[in-house]
Amino acid sequence: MPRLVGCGLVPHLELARRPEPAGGPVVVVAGERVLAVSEEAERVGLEPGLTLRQAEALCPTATVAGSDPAATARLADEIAAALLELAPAVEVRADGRIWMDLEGVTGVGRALGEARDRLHRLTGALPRLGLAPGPFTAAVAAARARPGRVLVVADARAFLAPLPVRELGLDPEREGRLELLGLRTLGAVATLGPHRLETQLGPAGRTAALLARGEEPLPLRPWRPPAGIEVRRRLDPPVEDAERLGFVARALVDDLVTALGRRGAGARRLQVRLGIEDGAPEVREGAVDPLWGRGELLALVVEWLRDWRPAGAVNELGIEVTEPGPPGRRQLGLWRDEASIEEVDAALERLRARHGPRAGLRLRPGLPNSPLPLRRYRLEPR
Amino acid sequence: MTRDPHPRHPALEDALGTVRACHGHRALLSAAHLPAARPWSTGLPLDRLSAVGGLPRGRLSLLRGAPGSGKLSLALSLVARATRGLGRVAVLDPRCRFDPALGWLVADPEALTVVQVPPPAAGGAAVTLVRAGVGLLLVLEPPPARALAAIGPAAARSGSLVLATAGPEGAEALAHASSLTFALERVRWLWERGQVVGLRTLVECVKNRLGPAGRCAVLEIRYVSDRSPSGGLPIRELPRSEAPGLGRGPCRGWSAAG
Repeated sequence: MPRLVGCGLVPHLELARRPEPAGGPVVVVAGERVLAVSEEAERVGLEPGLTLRQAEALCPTATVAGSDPAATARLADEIAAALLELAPAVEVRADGRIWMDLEGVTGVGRALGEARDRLHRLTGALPRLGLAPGPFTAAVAAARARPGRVLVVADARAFLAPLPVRELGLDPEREGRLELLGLRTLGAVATLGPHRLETQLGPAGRTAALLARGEEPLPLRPWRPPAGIEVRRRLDPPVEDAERLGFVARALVDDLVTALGRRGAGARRLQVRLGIEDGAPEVREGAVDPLWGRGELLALVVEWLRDWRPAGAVNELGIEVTEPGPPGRRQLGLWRDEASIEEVDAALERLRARHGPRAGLRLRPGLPNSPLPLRRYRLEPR
Repeated sequence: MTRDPHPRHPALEDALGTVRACHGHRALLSAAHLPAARPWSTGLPLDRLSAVGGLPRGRLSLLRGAPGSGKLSLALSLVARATRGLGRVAVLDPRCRFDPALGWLVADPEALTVVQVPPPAAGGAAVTLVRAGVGLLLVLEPPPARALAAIGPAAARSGSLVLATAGPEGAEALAHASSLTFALERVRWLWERGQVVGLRTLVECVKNRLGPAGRCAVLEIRYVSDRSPSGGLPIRELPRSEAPGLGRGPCRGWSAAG
């Protein structure tokens, strides 16, 4: 269990970067249920879990927006990838709670400051930050910090003791039971102990008692980077011109290189996908020698696109590293001679992949004693 | 009152700072810290002609001459020697003219790679190989000017030695991009028992960005079945008097060797 956890609180990720009418309340719905509400909406009594009809009745002027789980998941991945550079483990939840395991990290203050800036840039909101011995306490602390500021908690139990039991996030029935038992603060719950509370509330009671004691029974669920790295862009209106496609590819390769850099990875297998208007997508995929540089990736993608004759106008371009690999060859310059040989072999490999086996031929002895010089050696693929 | 010998120019320093920020610290080098030429000693009289003791790494060198002047023989001899001294060596041969029968010339055949890509892709392939740091790249077909613009900086960074051959006419872009240009002029064929067994050629350094140009030598290249111990055809230097009246630059009409 980590002993130092940072928590950042931002609005629900469904609300991040959503064009919001100035000062107006916004409600994000999934099906018929409210999924997330903006601060303005919260002030007028709206909350997640209400039905759409209840929300409309409470605030007829609220802007209702549909949820976009794919965009939310992408943003969560983006946030996690950005924070993973600052901490060894990161958990991001769609409701806007983001944890970083800061145990053993040098320069915790600097890391938190950087995390605040990155979260601000990615979500458009200044996060509230908490730093505590565990994830639960850190989240409770963050909720009490001012936007952009950090609340540091050294003694979790003492900090939690005066807080109300609703911080435990129990369902209303169990919260009612605690009320009946006269347990209104976390300090009271902590005094009762996990065993006795378990007999009253079941396993959730045990967890609640441990949380109230600051013993943090719930570990972080660290984010794992997805196996592949993909960047794509919708093209509206669809593009037929290969040159324009090349420009889009340039921007996408920049994004891809940034993503690879964050992961510290190179590309072993690359896939380019063209979404075709009124047609099935067209895909080209190939194994590449570990590539990581912008120039190398761009040269490959542009070369593929140049020879491509799509069946129709292209409405989406996607580039995916389907098989990331070690970055390779980044520091070979330190050992120049061996590096050259490895790099040249890699370059020849790429040339062979593009132009066929004759792009790398070697001399092999043929018939050494032949009277015809032409037969003494022959060229064959490496 | 003394004047500061190095007065500050804020606007200039701002501009230099911008260049450094945009392109990294290597974008600006003091003239005093420019790297010296790193020659590769060929073991041939070309070392003397280049004035730096060999062919410069990180630069483009050019052998120019009419057909039959011995430029390809000389270039292949250099390639053959480089397989032992420069690690990976590549011959870029878009027209598929490399003759595998020349394999016996090469000191270490494993180190040599022949790259036969389609001619339109030859420039890109040259840039790729040079960027990767190939020890020596022999270019048998002048690459397009656009590729040449990229080959120069790539070679300077990787330290690759780029060697090209070209006829006496055309390939102006190549000649312009080269740091060292040798012009070859055949003096005469060598005949034995009714067969051509070699040639004598005048090699003159007509362009040199690293030292004085104008040095020349008469070389005898023999096409024999025994290669020299260091690889390549046996090549020896003859007195300058073997080529009277030949040459273009200051050595025209010289009677002494060198």
